Parts: sequence; C-alpha cells; structure tokens
Amino acid sequence: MKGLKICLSSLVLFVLSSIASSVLFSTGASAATDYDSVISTTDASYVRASSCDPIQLTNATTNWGDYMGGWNELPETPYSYQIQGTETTWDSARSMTKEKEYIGVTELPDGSIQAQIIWTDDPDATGEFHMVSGVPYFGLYVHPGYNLAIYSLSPDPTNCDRYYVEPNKFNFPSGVTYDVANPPDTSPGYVYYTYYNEFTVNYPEEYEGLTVPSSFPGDSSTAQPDIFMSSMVSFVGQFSDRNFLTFDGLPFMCGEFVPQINIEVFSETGGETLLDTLSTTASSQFSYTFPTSSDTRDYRIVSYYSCPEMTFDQVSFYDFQINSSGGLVAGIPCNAELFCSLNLPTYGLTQAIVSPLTFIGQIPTQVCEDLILPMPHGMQNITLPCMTPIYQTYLGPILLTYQTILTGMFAYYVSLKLFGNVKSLTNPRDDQVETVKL
Amino acid sequence: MDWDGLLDAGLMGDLLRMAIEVVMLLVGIILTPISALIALTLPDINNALLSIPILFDYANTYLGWILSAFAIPGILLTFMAGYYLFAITSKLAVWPFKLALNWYRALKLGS
Repeated sequence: MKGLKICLSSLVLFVLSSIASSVLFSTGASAATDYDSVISTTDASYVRASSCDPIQLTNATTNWGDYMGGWNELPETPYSYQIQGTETTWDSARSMTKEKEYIGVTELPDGSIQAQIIWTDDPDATGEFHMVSGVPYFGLYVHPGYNLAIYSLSPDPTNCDRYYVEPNKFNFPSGVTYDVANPPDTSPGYVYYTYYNEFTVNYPEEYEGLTVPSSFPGDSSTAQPDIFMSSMVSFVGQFSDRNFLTFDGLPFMCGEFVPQINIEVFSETGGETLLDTLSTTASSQFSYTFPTSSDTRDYRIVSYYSCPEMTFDQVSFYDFQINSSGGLVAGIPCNAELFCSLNLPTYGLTQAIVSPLTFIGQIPTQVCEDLILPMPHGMQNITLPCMTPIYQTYLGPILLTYQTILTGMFAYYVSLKLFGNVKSLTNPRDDQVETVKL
Repeated sequence: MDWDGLLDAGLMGDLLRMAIEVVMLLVGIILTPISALIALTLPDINNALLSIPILFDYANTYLGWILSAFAIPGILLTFMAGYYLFAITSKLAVWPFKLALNWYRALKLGS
C-alpha cells in the first residue's frame, strides 16, 4: 500500500510538473509586440461593389495567381473592364521582370472589396514591419533603383458588370517601403488582408501575430476531407488528395491555426433536414458517430474544412441509409466488408461496452497535437505544446533512461502475461475467453 | 536508440483494430437481446449509455497529448497493441475447440 501511495504521489507530481512546464513553454499567452494585429489573411477570391454580387476571380481549378497572370486576357463575359493608371496597356506594365509578388485584398467601409497585386524586379525585396507616427504597418521594401508595379482591381459601383484595372509602374532611385497593411482599428472601416506573398518577411522579435501567407489559399484545394467507415458505430474521415492518397499529418495549416473540420448530417427522408453538426479541430483523422432513428432513413453526411475567418473549402459527401435498428444499409464503402454487411444495431449497452475497445484500438496510432485551451472573456487561447520534443531538447539522456526503464518494465509485465496466456491456451480445461478488462 | 522506429506501430494498430472489431462484433451479437430489451423498456438508460462513446471520443482528443506529456515511447504502445492482439485473438481462436472438447467430455461422462 505504501508503494502504491508513493507511485500515485509521483504520478500526480509528474502531471502537475508537465502542465506547469507546458504553460511555461506555451505560446500565445498574450500579445507580444505592437505588430501582432497588423496581418490579417483571407481566402477571398473575388472583388465586389457594395451594391453588386461578387465577381469571382477564380474557379475551383485555378488559383488567383494564375488568373492574375492572365489578367490581360480579361474580360470574361459578361464583365468588361477599363484600363486606368499610368500604363496605357496591361502588356507594357507587365513587361517588367517579375521577381516577387504580393497580392492583397482590401475591404472598404461600404462593404466593397478591392484587390491589389504588386510586383517588383528586386530579387532581394523584403516585407518589413515598421512604425509610422505610432501606427504599426507592414510594408514591402524595394532596394534603390528597382521597379515596383502596382495593379489595382476595383468594381464599378454604378455598373455591376464592369470593373476597373489600374496598372501603375514606379521606379525608386532611393528605394521605398510601400505599406500594404495596418491594424483594422487604426483605419476604421478599412481591413487590409494579405492573400499571397513572395517577399521575404522580417518579423519583429517575439512577434506572435499571423504569419504572412507564402502560398495561395487555393493550394489547400489539393486536400479534401474524405470519409470512410472504419467500424459499425462511427465514420472516420481523413484528409486525402484528389487521387485519394492520404497524408501523414495535416496537409496544410491556417496560418498558425489548425483547420476546423465540420461535419453535417442531413436526413434525406421526406425532404432534406439538417440533423446534426459537429465542428472540431482537424487532425489527420477525425471521427463521427452517426445518430440512429426509429425507422429506415436516408442520410447524407457532409464534411468540409475551414479556417478561422474563412469560408469552407473542399466538400466531401456521402449518401447512405440506416435501417430501423440503426445498422448501415448501403452507401459508404466499408473497410471490412464482412462485418459492415451484418448491420448490427447500435444500442446503448453495446456502445458502452465496445467504446473502450475502440479507444484502446486507437492508442497505438495516436499522434500528439498541440492542446489549445480556450480562455474566457476574449483572452487569447493558451496552447500547450507537445511535451516529448521539449523533454528531448532539455532532458535528452534522462528521457532516454526513463523510456528505457518504462519500456523494460512493461515488456517484463507483458512477458509474464504472455506466459500466463500461453499456459492457459495449453490447458484444455481453461475455456475462458479473455477480452480487455473493462 | 530510436524507440519509435523499432516496430511498425501503424501495422500493429491496424491488426489490433481488426481484432477489436471482431470482438466488438461478437459482443454486439451476444448483447443484442438484452440491449434491445433495455432500449425498448428503458429508453432513458439507453440514451445515457449512448453518451459513453461520446466521453471516450472526447478523451481521445487529448490522448495524444497525454501520451506525449508522459513521454510514453511508441514501442511501449506497440507492445501493448501486440499483447492485446495476441491475448484477444489467440484465446478466441482456440476457444471453439475447447468448448467442443468440453461438451464432448460432458456428453461422454453423461452417457
């Protein structure tokens, strides 16, 4: 008993020290610099006049950058455009060498949205954070003698079928920092979003704001949430590319945030009705236990991922039917055809007993992801990082010793149990079936 | 030594899951009558029991971090998966033969 108390005390101490060190090493406890709110990001791929429908700049298969590259081929019916600015034609403005590209989106006080693409021929151009009259800005710095081309795309509020293109090209003998973003609260009504950036960004020390996106948001379109059935009680989804090849981890991030996985379950019997929704932090795999019903029903399960302040992307859906006893009738490809076709009911007692088994089955393939603790009253969430890499960094040899002892003790325990199992197997009178002790 | 790379945890995990699904199927078959009775006569208890898987799903979201916090090496988890795989499947595989043998013995003694 004394040994047990010592073990329990050590365990509690270990847990407390782990949590304490997590908090110690956690990120995002509070804003660290004045620049943390400068960068906002978006996946908006359209421009819009306040009184008009959005004009899409892209479609599902091309990203905005490709579209911009073919800007001179506009307009697409029925839209028309009008060239303004210092360059008389698109081609003349575009003829400069494109070394770095930046694309920004600006939301105006009247709700309209404009786009801006900036190119430079300076291969060493950088993105810099700096203060102007006490206001933090993010600007693009071009070295002396290089060009900066600025192309604006704005809708015509008086004619929804038309928008303006303003190609401008400037040369800066002394160099320049062209500001492209500042915090929303410093320019009321205006929100400057960064859509894409190729400039090398120099972040301030201890910067904890959003990172400037260095890939098109559309790149995430190569990944889609794919749902399949792994057991009779739940669906398991995971990210896959368009060839249905899965990824080891998450294929993309929303800046510093983990994408959200959203699952919606619709009943399609007697008209489509939304039955259930689930929104959770995405991981390489995500699961959902579907609801049962009192009669045979047709369902549609829809999954999509989204980023904070972003609309959904890449929807996957499957149609299926559940019979009166809650078993799956048809619709979703099953990993184990034999077992899926049996359609066992999903009663509470059965679920209660098999769920620990499912839980144990998931243990060997668990991958650690940072734990995000939501904080009340608008405080920034606390992120507890995975501890093993931190142990490895600071306590390498001790960790190895600890893991060796732990593994050895467990291996010894397993060996004893295995011996007992084999002995039991060879005893013809021992007909007990061993399952996991719940 | 790279503990995590010593054995293929993914393969062990898949095998364990397969074994567990077989056990879940058997448990489901055995419990169906009493489960149906509970669902029919005591629907509130049935609903309460249905919340248990949700609890485990919730616990599962923190499992990876907890394993990391305790620095549990991957090989230990693989050991555990392998052990339960053996314990569950071997006994299940041999059990029908032992059962038949016991029945045969009982009938033989009776006659």
